[in-house]
This record gives sequence, structure tokens and C-alpha cells, in this order.
Amino acid sequence: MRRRGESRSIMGILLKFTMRNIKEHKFRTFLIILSIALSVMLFFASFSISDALSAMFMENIKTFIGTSEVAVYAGPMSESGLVTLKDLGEDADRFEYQIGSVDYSVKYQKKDKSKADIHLRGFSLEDLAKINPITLVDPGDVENNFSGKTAIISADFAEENHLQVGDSMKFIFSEDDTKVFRVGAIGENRGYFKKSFMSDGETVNMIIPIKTAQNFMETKSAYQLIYLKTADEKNIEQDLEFLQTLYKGDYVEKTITKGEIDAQIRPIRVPFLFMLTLVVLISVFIIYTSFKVIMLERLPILGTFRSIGATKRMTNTIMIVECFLYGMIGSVAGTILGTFALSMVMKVMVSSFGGDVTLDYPQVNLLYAFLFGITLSTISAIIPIAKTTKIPVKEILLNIVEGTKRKRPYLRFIIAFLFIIAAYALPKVLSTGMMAAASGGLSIVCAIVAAICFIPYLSDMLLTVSERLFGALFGNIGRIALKNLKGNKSTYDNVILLVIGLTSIVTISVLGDAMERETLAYFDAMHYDVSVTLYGGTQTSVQRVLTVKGIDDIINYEESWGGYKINGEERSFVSSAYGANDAQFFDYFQVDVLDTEDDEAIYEKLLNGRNMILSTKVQEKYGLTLDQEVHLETEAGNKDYRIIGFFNESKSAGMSMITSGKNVRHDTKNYDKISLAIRVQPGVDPDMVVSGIEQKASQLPYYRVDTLKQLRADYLQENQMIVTVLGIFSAATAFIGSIGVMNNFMVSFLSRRKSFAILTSVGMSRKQRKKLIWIEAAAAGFIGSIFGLVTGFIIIKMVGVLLEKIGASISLMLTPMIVVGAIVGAVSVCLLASVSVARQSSGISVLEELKYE
Amino acid sequence: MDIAVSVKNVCKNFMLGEEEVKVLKELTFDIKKGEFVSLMGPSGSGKSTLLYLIGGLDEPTMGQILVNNKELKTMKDLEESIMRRRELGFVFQFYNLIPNLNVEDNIMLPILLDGKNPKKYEKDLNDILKLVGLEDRRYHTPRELSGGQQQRVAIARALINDPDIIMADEPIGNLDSVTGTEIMELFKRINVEKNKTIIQVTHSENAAKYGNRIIRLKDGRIL
Repeated sequence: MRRRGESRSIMGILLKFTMRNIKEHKFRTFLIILSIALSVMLFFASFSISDALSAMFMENIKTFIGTSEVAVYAGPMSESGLVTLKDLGEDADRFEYQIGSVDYSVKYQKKDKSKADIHLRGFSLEDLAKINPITLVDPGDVENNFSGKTAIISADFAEENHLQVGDSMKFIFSEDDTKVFRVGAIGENRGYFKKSFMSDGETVNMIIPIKTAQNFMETKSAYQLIYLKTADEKNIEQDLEFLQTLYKGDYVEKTITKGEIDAQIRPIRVPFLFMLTLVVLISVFIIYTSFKVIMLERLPILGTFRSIGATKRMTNTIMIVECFLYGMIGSVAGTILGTFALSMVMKVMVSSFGGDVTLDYPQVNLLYAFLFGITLSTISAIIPIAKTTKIPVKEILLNIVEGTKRKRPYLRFIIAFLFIIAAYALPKVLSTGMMAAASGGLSIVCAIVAAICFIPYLSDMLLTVSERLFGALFGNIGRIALKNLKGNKSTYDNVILLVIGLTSIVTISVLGDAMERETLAYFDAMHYDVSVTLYGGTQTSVQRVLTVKGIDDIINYEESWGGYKINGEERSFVSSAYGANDAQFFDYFQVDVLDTEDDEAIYEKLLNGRNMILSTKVQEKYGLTLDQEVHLETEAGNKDYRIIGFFNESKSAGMSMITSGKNVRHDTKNYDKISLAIRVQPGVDPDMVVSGIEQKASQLPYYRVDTLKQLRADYLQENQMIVTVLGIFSAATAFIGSIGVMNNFMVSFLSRRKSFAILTSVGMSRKQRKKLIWIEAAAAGFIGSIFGLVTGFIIIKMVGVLLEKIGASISLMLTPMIVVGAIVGAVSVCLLASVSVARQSSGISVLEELKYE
Repeated sequence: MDIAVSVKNVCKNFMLGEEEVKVLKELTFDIKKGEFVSLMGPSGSGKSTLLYLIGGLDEPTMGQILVNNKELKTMKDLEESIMRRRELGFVFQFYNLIPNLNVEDNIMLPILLDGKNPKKYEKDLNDILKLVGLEDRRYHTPRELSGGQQQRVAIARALINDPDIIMADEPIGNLDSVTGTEIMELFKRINVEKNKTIIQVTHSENAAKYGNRIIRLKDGRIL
């Protein structure tokens, strides 16, 4: 009993001592907690982003398709362009519902005479309840009588236009056809009524009775679209086959399912996880180095405690409790920051489209983030704690601890080489599907760790080489500064922090630059004004488009994504295959065939027979040669294509092919999609032409009409949005790194107070001391930036290979701007971090530092 | 004979918490050029404080200190620093070498700080290394040297700029007796052969015997 009481009191004293230490080192405590919090924040945001995006996309997709999984619409041979509900017979139980719909696009004339785009969707209330239930905030009398020119509108629309149940709304169906509808009910802003960023947030859905819609469209009992939901999503392929036989001649297609959205969004997690890895590396490093200092500082006291009876377990427990405490506080702060960051990221990601942001993620992610923070803190601190435990008490008490002596000087080399081997081998061993992305990402992390292992040796080498340069620039103080940096652990720590921070910034900047460059090059090669894609359209639809005023010239071409495969690979042979219907295609799409002076002859050849021209990136990837016959797998079976030329271009990330329109159409069974490129007459606003085409195409199940200018701006904005979000993450990484650098400078200064005093004793003036501090900071920043750029260069090369593997080839390069920016940035961070060191250096007491050991 | 150091009515007070402690009380004495003076006294008598005041590493609360006829109080930081580089050399009990610089670099620090070209001092460096017996250790770092060898490096550093005065704070306080004797012999040689003024703080009567004058301090006063 006595022993227990005694040990409890020692634990109490130890705890008190620890708390006092934490209180005395507020900045260090803040730094550790901040790095844990930011890591947890990024972990949570990266981990939850795909779930949150998937949930948001699902919510938005509901504005188009509700909960349906299959859509049926009229095939190419249909004269009416309509479909009728078929009896499912014995197979009815394979589906939850089969619902017909008729839609119509109109304009709503507001009280101020301005117009809004309205999508009238014809449903019966029973069907609506099945496909996309709406909660009515003001039900009016629709539940008893939903017929005639009655519309259910959203609460948002009602509020914006000051409408109430019973009010009238004037809809413009065409120039000479306007109809007045009555507000039958008002529904919550969910489902069809949610403002979707996917429809640019401008078009408003309203529900009208199906009979009314059918009357306006004169469809009788037929529908434009039939929606179905399967009883079991797993059997969807068999259900599709069944429906295809039932709806012979019509298109039967899957709408988007949650599984597909998840698969589409999953890759977005990759860059965020990459950033997270860098942040974790920085955090582990900061916590590890901080705990090393903490342990060194507490060593004599821990020795004293041990000498008076505290066991190893007691002292270890106290230290582990301390890092656990940091982990707890950091994790709580991090999860709070994480939800905030995730909401910001989601806002940025949908800001370019408009629409509402919904934040939905599995709550268990919060727990994962919390546990991650505690684990990060504990694991980072455990090595310094374990190392201290091994030191005999006698050595601690007699102050004869040989902490600086490296027992295995080559261990770093061995570790570095192991990581290099892993970085090289991983992508070779795991090179298919999602494993390729995972192994690629892992190999990048291994390369960074290997670079970190080499930094002490490389830093010393660079310092030796730079000594003359700094001597020439700053005189003897410059030489002393570089000598001081050599062999200095704080220098290595700073360089490592700068390398990790810069690697993240350089990689993201290079990616951002490349994406913008490729987008601009892509649009520069297109010589037309308006792009049109009509799904389910026929030649009649094209004729209707042609009647729009302001069109000067138009071509019809084919485009297929993922329609060609090779060697049984899961991934497509090219990102996009273009089909030219005539030589005019090449006036609209600039294609410079390499090594030929007679482009016309190549075009002629391309339009006849199974020939193709390929971008040089495809040529390089597969090692193809001119005149080679390539065996491609298509929907219509295997086809042999002869290569008749190569061209340089950045379209579809550089992986594309061009053949005749006929080939693409037949091989990919691309019958229901019509792609048009339109030039407008001089002086005509392309936006007017877009409005005209939209009006004409409004009966089609899906269409997309954009000016090229708008497409270009959208692409740039979309790229910019991802780069901005990743940029924020990389800035956070660099920020943690900078704080780490600041801490290191301070720790280094504190441990070198005596050295400064020695230098003062042999004649160093205050001015020289400050100059020395600034030069040391600049030199550390310079070296950090050089290694950061070199590591960044290696990483962007690896990212390039990784992107190529997952089918998105972009040429990445370091621009002079990035190089200069990295050097200036790193040097500035170090100079800023040294401000407080320079200030404190004035207060050194030579007597105190030199007299007392 | 010329005066190397002149101390006039020097007082030094320290704040110990709330309390002011008078460490040195109105000290007055001169040290002539070429003298080898030992400052002796019990712990806390103020001998080290006095040495640091003479070296310009601390300021007296009251009184005047003249080194080579220049009053320290009127000197700015830069002037004091230049004086420490050119006219004074310090040797400490715990050697106080920069751990990550090698022997040569440590010795050349005053030259470098003075903005001189180290190449021009190659011969001086070789001579001094020979004098202190460390020619074969010039590229070693302090942690690769014994205590005696480290102290020799400190002496070499004090000599490199050919100063008039060498100040040593318990130079053999951390060494065994044999090494201590060697170091004191070295100081004696420097004093006699190079005619340098040496002021040492020591507890050791034996070490004091190498000098030609002893100033004994007790409770901040000269006995």
C-alpha cells in the first residue's frame, strides 16, 4: 500500500512538472498542436471529400432523374420520337416502378418583364411520389385536383417571384404562344426543386400534370422518356437486356447510379491524399523533432526522478500522456477545422457552377480523423521517448550522454536506397487499374522519404560548394555562416521542412500551369464558335438547328470517349476518337500532320477505308510506326486500323485519334449522339445562336449547346477550381513547414547561444552577429529551395508517369517563374523566421554563456 | 614601463532577484605590458567578473577601465569588438570552441571576423600550430580532441591576431595536473618569448606561480 501511495505521489510530481513545462513552452506546444490540428483537418477533408461530393452529386442528379436507374427513349427509326409504357408482364417484380414523363422548356415572364428558363416536367402525383417525392410546404388543393394548367413550384422560386398558391404565371411556349398557369402548390427546395449546379443553377423545374404536358406536346398517351428503377441494382445488366427486347428499336440506357458516381469521383481523392501525405510527413517531422528537444531538455530532470525512485514506466507514461494530450487537443481542433475546410472546399468546387452546397459525409469519418490525430502524435513521439528510456541513469546524472554520436552512420543510406528501390519497383509491380494509381502515389511518397534521407549529406556538399560564393558575396561572415550551417542538425531539419513544403507547392503549381496551358492549346486548335451535342437526335433535329438565325456554316462530326481498346487493356486506347465526315472537319479542327507536305492526301485517305492518324503521345506510349496496322477492340468487334500519320496536339490530354466519321459511328455504335461544330455569321453574337439552338433542341432528352468561348472559360474555371483547392492545401502544408522552420531557427539559436558568445569573445560585433544570422537564414533557404526544386522536379516527373498510367497525359515542366518563386519564397520564409532570432541575439550575456558549463 | 590595463574605482553590481549584489567594490590597480598577472580568490570573490570587464565583455556599474590607454566605456560595440579581435585574446576554462568547425577554422575566427584574407595568415597559422603542438590535428573537430588539445586550440585562437594581452579564465581548471602543467608552460613561453601580457584567473597556487604577480580578491575587494 505504501509503495502504491509513494508511486502515485511521484507520478503526481511528474505530471505537475510536465504541465509546468508545457506552460513554459507555449510556442512549442502551440506548434505541435497546430501541426496535429492541420494534419487532422486535411485528413478529414481529403477522406470525406469524395463521400461529400458523391452525396452532393446524387442530390443534384435527383433534379434530373429522381431515383430512376434506367431511361428509355425513342430510337433513330422512330417517327414520333416518343415511347409508350409496355406491359412488363411476369417481369414486373424486377422493377420498383415504370414511369412516363413529358417535359417542356418554356420561359417565365417575370413582373419586371425579364425572363427565366423553366423546365416543365409532366408527372402524375402518384408517379412523382415514387420517382422523386416532394414535400409540399403549401399543398393548396393539388392533392384533390392536380389537372389543367396547374404547376407545383419550388419555395425558392415562389419567394423570389413573390408567388403564392392561386397566383397566375405567364409562360412563353413560343413567340406567338403564351399560356397562363396557376400556382397549384409550393414544394420544399429538394429533389426536382433543388437548384442544381449541374444545370448551371439557372433553369428552374416545375411539375405540371402529365395529361396537361401530353396535351401540349400532342403525345396522346405516349411519353418522351420512361424511367425505371430496378428492384435490385445488382441485376441491372440483365434488366437492361430484358428491357432492350421489350423496347425493341428504342434506346434503353442506364441513368447514373450512386456506384458510378462514386467511381467517377474516387480519383478526385488522389491529389488530396497526396497533399495529406506531405502534411503527415511534415507533422511527423515537427512532432518528432520537437519531442527530441523536449526529451533532451528534460533528460537531467528525468534522470533525477529516476535516481529518487521513479521507474522507467512512470517517466515513459508521463511523456506518452503528454503526447497523447497534444494528440487529443490537436484532433479536436482538427476535426472542427476539417468540417469547416470541407465545407469551404465544396463551396469552391461548386462556385463556378452556381447552385447550393450540401455537406453530407459519414459521421464515422470524424472518429477516424480523431483517431488519426492521436495516432500521429503518439507514433511521432514514441521514438525519441524510447531512445531516452535506453540511456542509463548514471550517464544522465553524470552528464556523459553521447547523444550526438551516430552508431550506424550508413543507416540513412541504407534506408534511402530501400525507399528508392520501393519508389522504382512499386509502379512496375502494381501497374493495373486502381492499383496503378495507388502504387504510383506510394512511390512518390517513397521518393520524397528517400530525398529526405539524403538531405544531410547533400546539404553539406552544397554548403561546401557554396562557401566560395557566399564568401565572395558576404565576405568572411558569409564563410563563417556556411561553416556554421555545415553539420548542423537544425539546418538539415529546416532543409527537410522546406523540401516537403516546396515539393507540394511546386507540384501543384506545375500541375496548375500545365492544365491551363493544355486547355488553352486545346481551344486554340478549334476554329468555330458554337459546339452542339444532341443525344437521341436525328437528321431532322440537325435540320431544325440549321434554321436558327445567324449560323454561317456547320459540320457534323463524330466523337467517342473510350470507344476503342487495345491488347485487352481495361483502359481505352485513346482518350477520344474523332470521326471526320469530310475534309471540312480539318478547317474546324486544326490538325498538323507531321512529316508530310500533302495534308490533303492524308485527309482523303483518312476519309476512305479504315485508316487513322494518331497524336504523337499515343505513338510514344505504344511505340507505333507509320503504316503499322493496329488491332483495336470496339463495340462492333475487333477492327484493324492502319496508321497513316501522326500529329502533335494537346486535345484530350494528348491521347487522341482521328478517323472517318463512318468508322467511329459503326465501331462504337455511336448512333444516338450528334456532334455539331458551328460558325456564326460575322457580327452575330454566338450567345444568340446558342439560345436559338436550345429552343429548337428542347424536345430532346438531353442536349448541350455552348459557345466555344464559354466552354474555354468553363474549362479554365474548372481547372482553376481544383488547382485553387489543392493550392490551399499545399499552402497549408507550406505554412506548417514555415512554422516548423521558425521553431528550428529558435531551437538552433538557443542551442548556439554559447557559440555566439564565443564569437563575441573573439571579436564579433553585434552587427556582425546579426549579419551572420541573416546570412545563415538566407543560405538555409537557398539550399532548401534548391533541394525542394530538385525533389519537386523528380516528383512532377513521377506524377507525369502516374497521370499517363491513369490515362491523363499532361506534359509537366518547371517554369522559370516557379523556380524563381521557390527560391524567393524559401529564402523569405527563412529570413522572416529569423527576425525573432536576430532580436534575441542582442540579449546574449557572454559571461553567463561562457562561464557556466 | 607602459601600462597595458588600468582599472580605476571599478564597481560591479548584479541583481539577484529583487536584491542587488555588489560583486566588485571600488577596485583600482594597473597591469604593466609584459606582466603575467594571476587573479586569485575564493568562489564568488569577483575574479572572473573582473576579467570579463577588462575584456569588454561586460560593463562596470561604476569606474573606469583602460586597455592599451583606451577607455572601454567610451567605446562603441564595433570599436570594442575590433579591440577584442586585434588587441585581446581569450582562453576559457571550458575551451569554448565552435564544435562543428575544425581546429584551423576555430583558430582563424578572429582573422575572419576582422575581414582579413585568411590565406595571408597561413604562415602565422602554421607557426602557432607548431607552438601549441597541434600541427597534425589541424583538420580535426573539437570533439575529436582531448581536453588539453582543445585548450591548446583556444590558446592558438587567442594568439592568431598577435594581440598584446591574453586573458585566461581558469585555463587549467578542467584539465588533469600533467596537462595543466603543459598548458601553463605554454603560457609562460608565450609571456616570455612573445612578450605578451597575460591575465589569468585561477584557483591554483601552482598555476599562479607561473606568473610574476598575484592579485588576490575577497568579497569584491583587493586584499
